[in-house]
Amino acid sequence: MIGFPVSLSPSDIEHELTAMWNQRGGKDEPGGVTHYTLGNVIWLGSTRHVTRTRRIFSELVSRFPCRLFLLECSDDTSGSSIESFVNAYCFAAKGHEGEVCCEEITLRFGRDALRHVTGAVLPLLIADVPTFFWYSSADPGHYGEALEQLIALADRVITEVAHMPDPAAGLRRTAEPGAKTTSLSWYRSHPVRDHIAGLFDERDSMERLASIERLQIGVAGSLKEVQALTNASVLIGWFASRLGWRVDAGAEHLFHSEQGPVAVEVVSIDAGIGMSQSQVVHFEAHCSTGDCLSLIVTGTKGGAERRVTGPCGTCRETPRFVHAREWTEAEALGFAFNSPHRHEIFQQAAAMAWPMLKRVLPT
Amino acid sequence: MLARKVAEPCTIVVFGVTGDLARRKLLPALFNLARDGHLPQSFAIVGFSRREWTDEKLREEMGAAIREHSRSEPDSERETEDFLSRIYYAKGELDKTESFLNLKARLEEIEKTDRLPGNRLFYLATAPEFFAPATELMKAAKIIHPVSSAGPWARLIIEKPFGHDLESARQLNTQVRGAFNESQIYRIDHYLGKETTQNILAFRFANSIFEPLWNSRYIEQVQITVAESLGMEGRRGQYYDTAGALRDMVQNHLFQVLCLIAMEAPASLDAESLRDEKVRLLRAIRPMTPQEVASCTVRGQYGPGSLNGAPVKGYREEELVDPDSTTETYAALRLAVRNWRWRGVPFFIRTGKRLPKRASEVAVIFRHPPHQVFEDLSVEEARQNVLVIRIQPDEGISLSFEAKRPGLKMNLQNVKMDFRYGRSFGTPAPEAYERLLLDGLIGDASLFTRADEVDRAWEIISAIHAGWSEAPLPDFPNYAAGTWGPEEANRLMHDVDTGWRRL
Repeated sequence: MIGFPVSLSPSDIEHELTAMWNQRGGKDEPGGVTHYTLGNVIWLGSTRHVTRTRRIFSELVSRFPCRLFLLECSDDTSGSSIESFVNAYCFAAKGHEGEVCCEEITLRFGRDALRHVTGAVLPLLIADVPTFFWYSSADPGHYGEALEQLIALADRVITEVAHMPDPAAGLRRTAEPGAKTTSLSWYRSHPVRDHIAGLFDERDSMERLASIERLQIGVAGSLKEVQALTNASVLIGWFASRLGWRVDAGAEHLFHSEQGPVAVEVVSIDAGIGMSQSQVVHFEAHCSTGDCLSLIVTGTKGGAERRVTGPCGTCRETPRFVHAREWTEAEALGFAFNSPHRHEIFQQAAAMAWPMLKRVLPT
Repeated sequence: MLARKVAEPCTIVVFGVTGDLARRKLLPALFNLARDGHLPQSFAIVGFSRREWTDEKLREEMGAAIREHSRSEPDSERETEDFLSRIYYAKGELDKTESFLNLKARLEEIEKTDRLPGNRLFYLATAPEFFAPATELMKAAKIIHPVSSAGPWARLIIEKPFGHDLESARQLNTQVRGAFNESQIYRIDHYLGKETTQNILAFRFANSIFEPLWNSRYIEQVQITVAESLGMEGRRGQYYDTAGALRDMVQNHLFQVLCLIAMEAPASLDAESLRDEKVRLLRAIRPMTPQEVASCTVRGQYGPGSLNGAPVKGYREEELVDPDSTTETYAALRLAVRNWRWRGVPFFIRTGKRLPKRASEVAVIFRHPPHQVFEDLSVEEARQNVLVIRIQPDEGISLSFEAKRPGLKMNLQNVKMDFRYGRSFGTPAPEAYERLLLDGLIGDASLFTRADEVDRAWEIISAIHAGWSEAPLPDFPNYAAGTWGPEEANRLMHDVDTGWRRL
């Protein structure tokens, strides 16, 4: 961060940002400051989460230099006015002389000013770059119409499906055509999915795909945790969508491959050191041939163990250990912002996952 | 080396000198021209108004106006005083013969005392209803010199609006041309004086790489936007309610920008060659039928909303606006230019009041590549190349294109090459009125509109108004202040992938 945040009126923000950059030096000066923007990122949340969010952004900006909007809704603030601050994040980019900086605009307001927030943000959005909106879905009603207006502004919305009042319904909505919401945990689990896909890279492993008759997904922690069930369901939905399975919501077995019904089970596993609660830590696919392919995440530093066992239960291959850990929020958001075109994969996963989630969630 | 433009000794008569335009734009522009050496050693400015002012009072007022609105600080108070000493005041009424006879006497007196040759530039910075009577009385008072290669010259600068519709524009033209020859008439559109507007010509015709692409084969669509965040400031509602967005902005500023973007290359940049091509372009736009008006235009009126974090009132609540007003504060058009170059390329034009920000730009959106070589790599379809000419603010030009993001996979990222006036040139750009006033003084009509241009623009606009009068009135207001206009405007883009650009 540079300088001290300057309190000013929303209509003065652009002017203040220009003055800030002029003060720091021109773009083309060697050793000076480059002001760079790949997108607009809007965060909406409450005051108690701002510090943590700022920490995430400080890691994020080197992956995705952007104009950040921190929309801080405070229950302690009354009246319909909006207080605003501007600041910047700077980092040294490889291969670039001087610093690369991006801007942070904080708008602080009370509930009475919510209806004016979109009007304050809209003129400040930088043109010709995508806009991402990240918010906590725990209490969407808390933000009233402002939430819908901000969602309408964005090209992509990131939130946490598991925190929605009805996660299964929320997941279903994300699968609808034109929907632009993705769950943050989807991105965080990208490395694990990557390794699961890697299990089937080799030809004879790939041939087993068509013969899978049972899946077991292990999550760290209790099965009472909605996040855990959501993570597991989305992973299963992803796997099912990749293999072209179909869903039969009325049948005993929800998923069906070309070969027949696939039994799916979610189990609870004690979280090891370095594993976050609710993370998917175990994937096991049982084939009708008797083979079993599994991936076990053993911790953030220890990596994961991949195994392929044969009909007699003994290992056919030497277990391989690879790094597989959930991404941090900053890493996940950076990936999301840099890969907006991957959204359809999530939607396909969500379409298969929500019936599963609906079944496993306690009523 | 280009010669510096310097006007001949002359007298500049500003009708309506006590008005807002003279204060904020004209006198500060003349001051900057003087201090930059574009005005001759000998010149005089005569302000005409009905107020009970004197020379001293006018100088005092204009001094304050210059200090407040000039783009540059005077080097010294003496510099300002020297300029102000050239300013004189003539009291009068724009519709009284005696006032113009007095003006004539005053002009002759000043020209004699200041040893001026009699060249006169008349600037009508008044309400449009005074254009015709004022020029008629100028003629009657014999203060206009006829066109002559030998004697002093006389020119008239006339502000928009040039009429209210086609018929009134033609009538006004007839009346004004009763006093002045067409070659003496300079119809001002200040957008043509903007640095970036003129840069469109430089960009298109001084560079060989763009012209071969400037046609329907490579360009999918063009969007021209003039967005204003202001509403009716002060008493402006009274005039605006009789005009609306189409008359106030589209008929002049937007059409001028459209002409520069879409016209054929002129043989030279002399006034007639340039304006010939603009008229040719306007003639390629056929006035719409009522059915086309219904499908290719959208109008809107802003209601209450929120801008920059504060509530703002709706148009009908503005001062001096009819509470039941049906005047449009927003207009969006889809135009077709029917010539070989542009056949099939839609030109989307929009303008509005109380939009989220003040911004004017032209976006030229190119077609997708004819063949997507990246399909086998499962790479998302590349975004279209977009050339953006930003007229205001943050004047400049940018070109966006696809580049490979560093990494082992072929991931594309849209990136932008950016030219900004503010950073690329050390000298600040002159104000539009400085350029236009100077061109009026030296007799260069390139940046002024010709009668046939005005006529043709009104033909197109009048057809839209006719269509609107036949169609049911939209349910006004239909967009909230602080938003990008009515949702209905999106239907104009039914056959293109992009929507309206968010500026």
